[in-house]
Amino acid sequence: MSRTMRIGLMLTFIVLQVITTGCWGHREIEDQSVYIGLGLDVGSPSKFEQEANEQGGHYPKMNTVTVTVQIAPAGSSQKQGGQGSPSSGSQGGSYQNQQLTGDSILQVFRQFALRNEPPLVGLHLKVVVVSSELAKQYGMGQIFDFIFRDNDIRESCLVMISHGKASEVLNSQHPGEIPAFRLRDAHRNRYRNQKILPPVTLVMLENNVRSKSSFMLQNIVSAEGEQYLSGAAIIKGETNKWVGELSEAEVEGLSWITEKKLGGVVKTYTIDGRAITYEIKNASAKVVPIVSGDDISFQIKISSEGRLIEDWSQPDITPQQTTVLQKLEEKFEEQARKQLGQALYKLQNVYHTDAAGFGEQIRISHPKVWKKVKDNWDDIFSHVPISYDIKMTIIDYGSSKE
Amino acid sequence: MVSTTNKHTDQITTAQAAVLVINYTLGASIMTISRNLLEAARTPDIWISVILSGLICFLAGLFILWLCQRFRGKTLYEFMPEITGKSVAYVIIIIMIVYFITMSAYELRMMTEVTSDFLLEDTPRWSIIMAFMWIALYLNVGGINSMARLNEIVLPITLIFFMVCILSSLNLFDIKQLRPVLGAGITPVLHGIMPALSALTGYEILFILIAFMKTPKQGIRALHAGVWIPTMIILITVILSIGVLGLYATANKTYPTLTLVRSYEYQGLIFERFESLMLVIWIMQMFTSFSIMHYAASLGCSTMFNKKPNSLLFVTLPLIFIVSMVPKTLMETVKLGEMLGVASIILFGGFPPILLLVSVIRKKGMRRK
Amino acid sequence: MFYIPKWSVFVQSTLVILIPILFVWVSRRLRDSIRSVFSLHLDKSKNVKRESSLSEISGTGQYDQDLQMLQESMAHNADVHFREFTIRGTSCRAVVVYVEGLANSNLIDSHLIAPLMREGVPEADREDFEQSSESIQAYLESHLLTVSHLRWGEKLQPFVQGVLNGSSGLLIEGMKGFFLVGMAKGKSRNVEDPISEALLRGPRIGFTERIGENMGLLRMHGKDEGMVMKKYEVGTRVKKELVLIYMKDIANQELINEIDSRIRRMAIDDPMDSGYIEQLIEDSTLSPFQQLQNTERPDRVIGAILEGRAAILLDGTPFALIMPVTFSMLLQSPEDYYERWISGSFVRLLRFSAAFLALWAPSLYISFISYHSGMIPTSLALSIVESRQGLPFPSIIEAFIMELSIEILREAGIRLPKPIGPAMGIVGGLIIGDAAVNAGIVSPFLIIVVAVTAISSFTIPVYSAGITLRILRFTAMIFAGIFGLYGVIMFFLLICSHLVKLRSFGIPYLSPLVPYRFRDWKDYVIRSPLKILKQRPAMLNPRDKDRRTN
Repeated sequence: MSRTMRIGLMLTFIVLQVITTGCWGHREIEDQSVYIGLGLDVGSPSKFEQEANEQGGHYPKMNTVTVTVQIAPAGSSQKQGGQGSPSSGSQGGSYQNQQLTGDSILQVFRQFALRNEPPLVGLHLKVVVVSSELAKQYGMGQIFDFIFRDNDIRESCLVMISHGKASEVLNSQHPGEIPAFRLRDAHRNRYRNQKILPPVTLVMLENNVRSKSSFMLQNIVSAEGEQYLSGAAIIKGETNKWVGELSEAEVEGLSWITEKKLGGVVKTYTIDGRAITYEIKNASAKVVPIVSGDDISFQIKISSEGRLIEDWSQPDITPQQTTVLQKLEEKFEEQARKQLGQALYKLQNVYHTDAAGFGEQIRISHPKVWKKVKDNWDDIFSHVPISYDIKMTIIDYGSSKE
Repeated sequence: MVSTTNKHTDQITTAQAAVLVINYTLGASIMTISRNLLEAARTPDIWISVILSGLICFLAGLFILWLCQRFRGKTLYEFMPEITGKSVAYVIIIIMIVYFITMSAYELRMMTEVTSDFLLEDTPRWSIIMAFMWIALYLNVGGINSMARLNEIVLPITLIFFMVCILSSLNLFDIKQLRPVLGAGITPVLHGIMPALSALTGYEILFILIAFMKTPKQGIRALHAGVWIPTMIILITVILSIGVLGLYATANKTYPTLTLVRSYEYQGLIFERFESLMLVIWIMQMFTSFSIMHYAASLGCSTMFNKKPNSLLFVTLPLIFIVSMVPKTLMETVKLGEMLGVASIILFGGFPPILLLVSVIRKKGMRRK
Repeated sequence: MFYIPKWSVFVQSTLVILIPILFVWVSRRLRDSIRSVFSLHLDKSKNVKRESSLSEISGTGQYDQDLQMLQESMAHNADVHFREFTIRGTSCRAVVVYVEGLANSNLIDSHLIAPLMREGVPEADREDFEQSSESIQAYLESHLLTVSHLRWGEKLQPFVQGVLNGSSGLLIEGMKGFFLVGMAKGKSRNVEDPISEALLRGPRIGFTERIGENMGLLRMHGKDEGMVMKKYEVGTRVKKELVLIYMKDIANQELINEIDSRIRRMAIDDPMDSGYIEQLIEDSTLSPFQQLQNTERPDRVIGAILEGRAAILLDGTPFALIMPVTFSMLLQSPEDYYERWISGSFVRLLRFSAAFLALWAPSLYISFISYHSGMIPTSLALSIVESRQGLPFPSIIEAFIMELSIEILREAGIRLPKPIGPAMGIVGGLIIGDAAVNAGIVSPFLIIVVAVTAISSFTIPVYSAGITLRILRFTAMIFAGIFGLYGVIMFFLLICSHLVKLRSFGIPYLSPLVPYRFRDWKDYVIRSPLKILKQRPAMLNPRDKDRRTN
């Protein structure tokens, strides 16, 4: 019995030992810096870094990229470092931006430890903003390599391109507001506005990068400390680099063929220059690739139904008459055609990039042809004739008849 | 050889046998299956390979079933000497024991890899492994019946959670990624069969289970469930991975199935992200397949050495531990998994028809009606 | 050679095998030592019979001698009284022996002494009466003793025991033996609402401490001639009455035999409460789960025996035992059946989820806060980070502090006098919690978790099951502290591994969940309409499977 007791005691001690030396991996949530937004800019050391450098605080590196992390909530120990906005109110919406420059994103992250910040964790990263300047210099595959590999960052994180500096996009003038959350929630409004691109998550980005296909990313400009979603940045598949931008109107035009569900408006002018607006109720677009021999062409068929929702003309157009109605529809069709044509023109003749997924149609319907053309598809695409046919029908005048 | 287990008291129902086969089949491999398939054949058609290999598995399972029904109430280890004579049988049995030990070591290692990658980054591996192994040992000491019952508890939980987690990604699903069907012809599909088979082999455990079944005649039901349900699940996983992640991202991710769950985010639920949840739930699944493999290996040893299975459960444990530590990297572990797949196809796909033939020729065992 | 692992792997692999072996060895020793203390397999050779001067002595028939003997064996007790008198119409002396406070004095006065002294034996019958010992006995039984409960014996020991248990003893000159008249009328309380298992709907009757009354309650409840009440005498020194109750034509005979043999093998000086019986006849002593269910409610007992289970009543306790127990019973309440099936099912579902919360909530909290902060929704995570800023303890310590204090509060609440109980609860719960948050010791989220856990654990209808859950909760917290969610899952598997092995009187503890018995699932988490529940649970293998037959 006593021997049993002794062994039992021994076991207890072993268990206690395990428990006390255990908890190996535990990292309390408050002992970490949760970053929710990440901005990548062309390397330019911040004031803090320059000062530290003067006093000998540096390590061998190139100034390739400046990393801005948005940490929320702002820690109790507000560091001077980041030039980000000071925490605005203690209620929920406080954040701080921190900046460091280097040539390896992970090393830069680890470098934050030298500033006595709790280690950064990417578990809650919501949005990555890359400045167009950086994307012009490096391929998306290079920039995002660490982010693709890191197992903390979720693949549902969104990717956007900033027209100016990414660090500025991650700022907000409104107190109690976290810019990263605003950016994440921006695409929620898409059902009311087609000028916003569908959200591109990390995994979509990775698929596009690896398959070397061209694609569009949401472009953001910042004005007066506020973000504004403006048009799209085009990434060319071959190099994965930024080649240019599409304007809002062009994005709207392209949305006829890239979107499954449309919720936008078409605005045009009457002969006397008054605005009339068409609200899209439903729309369907078909991109039909036509292959005959080596010649490839596309035919786009769009049909839409909607309501006449706004009319500034004086006196009111009476749409009850079918001729008037037809005229109106034609007007809207023309406007849509113009927008689409402009966008396609830019893609084909300015950027020489198929960012609207025409290649995808070939791949699906003519896989053998695609095998031949896929290596220099962007070149072929620039010369492919595209014809389009848009049919819009006004079925409804809203709740007011006149 | 004397029967070392009491098959009269320790019997399992048909449902339990089916659950055991399913649990044995669905293990760690589901985490990497889509990538493995895409590495063998870079085409979205690999889902066809999955269906085809399901068919192959079913056929191979049929042979095992016929074989087992000639020897009622005997496990593979017990009737093998009757067919081939002792010396040959011992060699085959040793190979099978080695197979089961390596298989469980592989399962263990994959579990550790995923866990230390995504759940417990700083926890030493040996502690993760030991907790896992000891609990499996504690379970297995209770015999096949308690194992079967635990499997019955675990399977519905894991399947429901897994399906919910996987299917939540449906609104990111893009059918275009899966088209065109057979765009590159049938050959890549055939290339994909090998990795699909190695993920789907599980019918081999019937060699042991049939002997414990209350009604061995219903073995065919267990086979149906044990082949088609895992096939369905792997099929859904593969289709969703490609449809949601895209061909290229799937091929590039270490654990595409986890990435699939990480690629969506719902706001306003208690959990926003399901990957850790799915992972820990799936660890239960790995636990059950590990415990079955461990039991199968120990049962083989116990029949060979004519000892009680319980003591051999202890002996095989450190062996499995050492084998699981042999691969140096994750890539080597994955390679080990592929090798095991090949071994299983030879061992349990190729052998049973031969054994059946030999037993028919030598007139061993009961004749079928 | 390249593939041979490092030496440390081999060291670890020896640990892998050594520790389980050590564990098995210790648990085996532990089990053996338990067995040697309270034995199910009573070693007959070791069982030394108690020295007893009375056991072999019988009445002699000589009045003086017998009386002296009685006095020697009992008169030293202050509460034993001897009342001597003469039977009217004869010269027979008689003595009534009774224990004050226990014996029914009404019965003695009006049915024992009164007929003997006042009526006595008429002239005509005197001859017959005095003929022999047997004739005296027969005459008394048939003519004089106007009581229902009458026992006759020649041995001295049962007589003494009977008297000390509250019967009145009667010794008559010329009679070679003793009468035991009537039964104890000890103090008993009224039938009250069962305190530990209060219900809103359903009978408000609880067992009392008197086994006779309890049996009566059951008989009153279930007027079925199939109900068998088998009596045992347990206790090696202090004899107690134990009754095994089952339905003759429902309960499986193997089960009854098993229970019967366990009761017979049980050896203890005095089973003070049914808890003693429970611990002596249960299957696994080392299991944290109870394998017999205790209840104060007669309706619960009736419900159980109608399903084919058996129940044990012990004298001196209001708690009956029901066996075999399956896990689901611990979360079911008779009320589920009294309410309509939809509300019954809803409440039952609620209870299952509450049990889940009570067991896992703190450990999930620990693993989310300390290990998997990524699983918390971002906005919640941010506010948790903010609220936890500057807390001194890791979440495991924090949770332990709060869980322990709430358990202490609960334990204190039971002992507190009724008028101050609720007040103290409020002081403890609200003020300590609030102060702890304000002092920056714990985070407000933990308070929510702890409160939810505590409330959930009170929904469990069987009190002892609640205690089991509490113990397991603390273990789960330790596992979560070491391994996070992985630990939680490992602990879940450990509990399941234990539960699938556990049996209660041969019935798998987790049935009907596993092995799958779909038919029995109708009355599991969901309580189907009574019109559907036509069958008795198949897991108990009842003789009569159909509930509708009479």
